Amino acid sequence: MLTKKAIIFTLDSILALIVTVTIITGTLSYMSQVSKIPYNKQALNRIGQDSLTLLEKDQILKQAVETGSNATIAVFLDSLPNQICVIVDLKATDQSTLQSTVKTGCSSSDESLIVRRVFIASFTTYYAEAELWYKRGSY
Amino acid sequence: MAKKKSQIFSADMVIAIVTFLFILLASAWLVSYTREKMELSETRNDLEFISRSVLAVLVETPGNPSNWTNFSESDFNQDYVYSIGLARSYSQKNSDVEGHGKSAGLTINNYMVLDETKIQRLAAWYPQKYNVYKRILGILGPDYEFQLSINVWNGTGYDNTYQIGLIPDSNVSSVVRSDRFALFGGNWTNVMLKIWKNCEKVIC
Repeated sequence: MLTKKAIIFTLDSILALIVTVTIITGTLSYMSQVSKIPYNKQALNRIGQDSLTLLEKDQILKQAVETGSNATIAVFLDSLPNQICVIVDLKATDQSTLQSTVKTGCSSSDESLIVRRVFIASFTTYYAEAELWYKRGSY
Repeated sequence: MAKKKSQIFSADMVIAIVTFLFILLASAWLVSYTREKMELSETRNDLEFISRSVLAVLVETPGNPSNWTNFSESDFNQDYVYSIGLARSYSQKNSDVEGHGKSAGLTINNYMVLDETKIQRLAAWYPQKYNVYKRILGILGPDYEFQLSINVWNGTGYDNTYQIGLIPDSNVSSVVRSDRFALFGGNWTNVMLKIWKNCEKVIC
């Protein structure tokens, strides 16, 4: 009796299986990625605008320029949510910085945004510039 | 007559059929998964947009009409109240003007200065007028619910002074939260709005 040898499966089919499994696995891993929340920057911008508006309406910016003390600004910045960092600079129209207030526990960041608001103190125009960013690992 | 041998099927064909079925089923599952993910994303986008819009109207405007607190509870509906705002009405005496003197132009309106009467009225009518609030504020999505919190700074932290609306159920997959800051009674105030979709099943 002759022994017959046959091919059980070919290299082609193995390669096809490998390619198929690789493509499906790659697709699944890509689709299961958590998408970055797109509204963070908008929320940060809104908080910045509100903060400067509130400081201006409460006359805190005016008092800071007139008294030279930024203590109240510092208290307000520390009352903001923990994950948000802020630096508020009070500037004259020639862009010279009169005061700078940093929220406690914040260091600089590459991804920040800036908002500004004009205010008047002692019949002179100034503007407040707030730089905001999220603390690392908070989003 | 010579016998002809042929091959009906091979192991290759079996592997090919299995692979084809596997790809077919995986594609069907991926389509279903993608659609569900897109629906959740669209709902989330909708909630985000609504929350930002609603908070802007509440904090920045006095409402329309601005004296909507003059209406009785029975008349408080969409026929008479077109918009709910918590900012002080323009007709009220603006103490900011006196304080600023010549710089009044920047604070002539009561933008982002909240009116306690309006907040109290909203809180007082909350249980029975909750659905009216939703309609007027524009929170009209299917099974959308909201919670509005007014948190006032006490010198060291924010006190939850007023809370209007429902509490999110623990089964809800996502709750959208938006914050604004304003002045209330001369104090820094955090106005927080949470919006969520209560039922996320196909049939509720």
